[in-house]
Amino acid sequence: MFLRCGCCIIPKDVLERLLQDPTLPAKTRASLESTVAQESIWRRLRVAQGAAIQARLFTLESTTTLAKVPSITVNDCQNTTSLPGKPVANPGKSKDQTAKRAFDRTTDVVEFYKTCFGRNSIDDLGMTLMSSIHYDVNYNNAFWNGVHMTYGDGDGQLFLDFTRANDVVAHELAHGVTEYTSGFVYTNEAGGLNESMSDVFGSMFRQWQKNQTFSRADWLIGADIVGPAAKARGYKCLRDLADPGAKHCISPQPFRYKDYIPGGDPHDNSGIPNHAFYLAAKAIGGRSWEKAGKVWYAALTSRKATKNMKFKAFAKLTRVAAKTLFPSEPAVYSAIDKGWAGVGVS
Amino acid sequence: MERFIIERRGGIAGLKGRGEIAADELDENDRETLKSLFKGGRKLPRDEGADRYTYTVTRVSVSGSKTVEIPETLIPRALARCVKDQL
Ligand SMILES: [Zn+2]
Repeated sequence: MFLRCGCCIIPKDVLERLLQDPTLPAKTRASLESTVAQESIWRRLRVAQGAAIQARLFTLESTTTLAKVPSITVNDCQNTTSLPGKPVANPGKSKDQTAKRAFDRTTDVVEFYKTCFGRNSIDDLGMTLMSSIHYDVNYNNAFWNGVHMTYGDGDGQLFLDFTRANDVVAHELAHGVTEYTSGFVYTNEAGGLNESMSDVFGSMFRQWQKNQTFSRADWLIGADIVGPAAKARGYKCLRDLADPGAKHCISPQPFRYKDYIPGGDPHDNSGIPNHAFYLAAKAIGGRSWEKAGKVWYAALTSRKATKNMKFKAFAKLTRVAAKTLFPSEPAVYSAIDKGWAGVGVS
Repeated sequence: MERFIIERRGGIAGLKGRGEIAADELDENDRETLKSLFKGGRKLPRDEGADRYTYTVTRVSVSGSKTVEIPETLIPRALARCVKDQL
C-alpha cells in the first residue's frame, strides 16, 4: 500500500520515521526506502521556486521565463494511484477522450489567463502544466497536489469523468495560481479564500468560454460532472455562486460571514467570498472577467496578499484594486463594496 | 474484535464519506501500517496541494477507542475503498 507514496507527496520526515519503524513489514520498508531515494530534484526545485516567489525574494522581472507558451502534458495513471502515470503521446489528438479533454481544456485555461490577465501559466513564467488522468478506480475527485492536476473517472453514478467539466479543470489550475501568488494556506479564512479563488476563476473561465454576460451565466460549479444518480435526486452541481445554500448543490455552503464555520472545510467557507464575487459581478453587469475578475486577480496577485489572510483583509485589497484599475469608474468600487457588504464582510 | 470507523472529508465536491471495516478483513501489511499510524502523539501533516481527501479513522477495540487523522496519501487503500459517499 505504501507504493502510493511513490508520488513523493509525503513529507520526508514522515517517510523517514515510518522507514525506521521496526514494526512495519520489510516489504513496506523497502518500498518506502525506494520512495525516499527517488524524491526528485525537480520537485524540490519547483517547491523552492514557489516559496521564493511567495516570499517575494525575487521579482518576476528578474526571473527567467521558462517558455512563452507553457507545454501541456497528459499522463495516464491507468486506473492506479501511481502518480504522475505514463505519458500520453500527442494528447491533443488522442482517441482517449479524457486525455484529449484534459489537454484541450488546459490549453484553453492557459489562453484565458493570458488573454484576460496577461498571465503566463500557473507561475507566470511558462511552467509546464501536467495533468494526470484515469487516477484510481471510480475515483470521485480531482485534485492539485502542489505540482500537477489529477482527475478521476468518477463512478458513473454520482459523478462523471472529472475532465468533462471545464470549470473543474480551471478550478484545479487556479489552485496552482494561488500557490504561486498569495500562497493562501488551506485552513481557516485563508483556506476559504483559497477554495473560493478556484471556484471564482473556474466559473469565470466557463463564462469566458461561452462569452456569457452576467445574466446568461449559470454560476454553477461542476454541473457537467453530476452523474445520473445525483441528478435523479435533484442535484445540479457541486456549488452555486449565485445561491450557495441551494438544495440543488451537492455541497451547500454558508454565504454570510455570520455563518462562517470555525475550523470548517475550506469547501464550506468558500461560499462567503464566492457569493461576494457573484454580487459584485451582478452590480457591475456585463462580462464578469472584464471588471470584477480583473479586480479579484489584482487582489490575489497583490504583494499585499498574504498566506494567512482573512476575508476582511482580502476585501480591502479588492477595494484598493477597484480604485486603482478603474479610477474613472466609481461604480466598480461601489459594486465591489456592495458585494462584500452583501455577505457581511465590511 | 478490533474495527476501524472511517470518516472522509475534503475533495473538490466537499462531499463527506463514511465506512467501517474489521481489522481481520485487512491484510497484515495494512494492519501493521495502521498500527504505525496510530502510534505516536504527533499529528500527521496534511497532504500538499488542494482538494485532497482527509480521513478521520477511529480504532475501536475492547480496550477503548482512539482516533487519528490520516491524509489521503497515507491511508491504506482497503480503508479508502470501504468509504461510501454520503449524499
Ligand atoms: Zn479546490
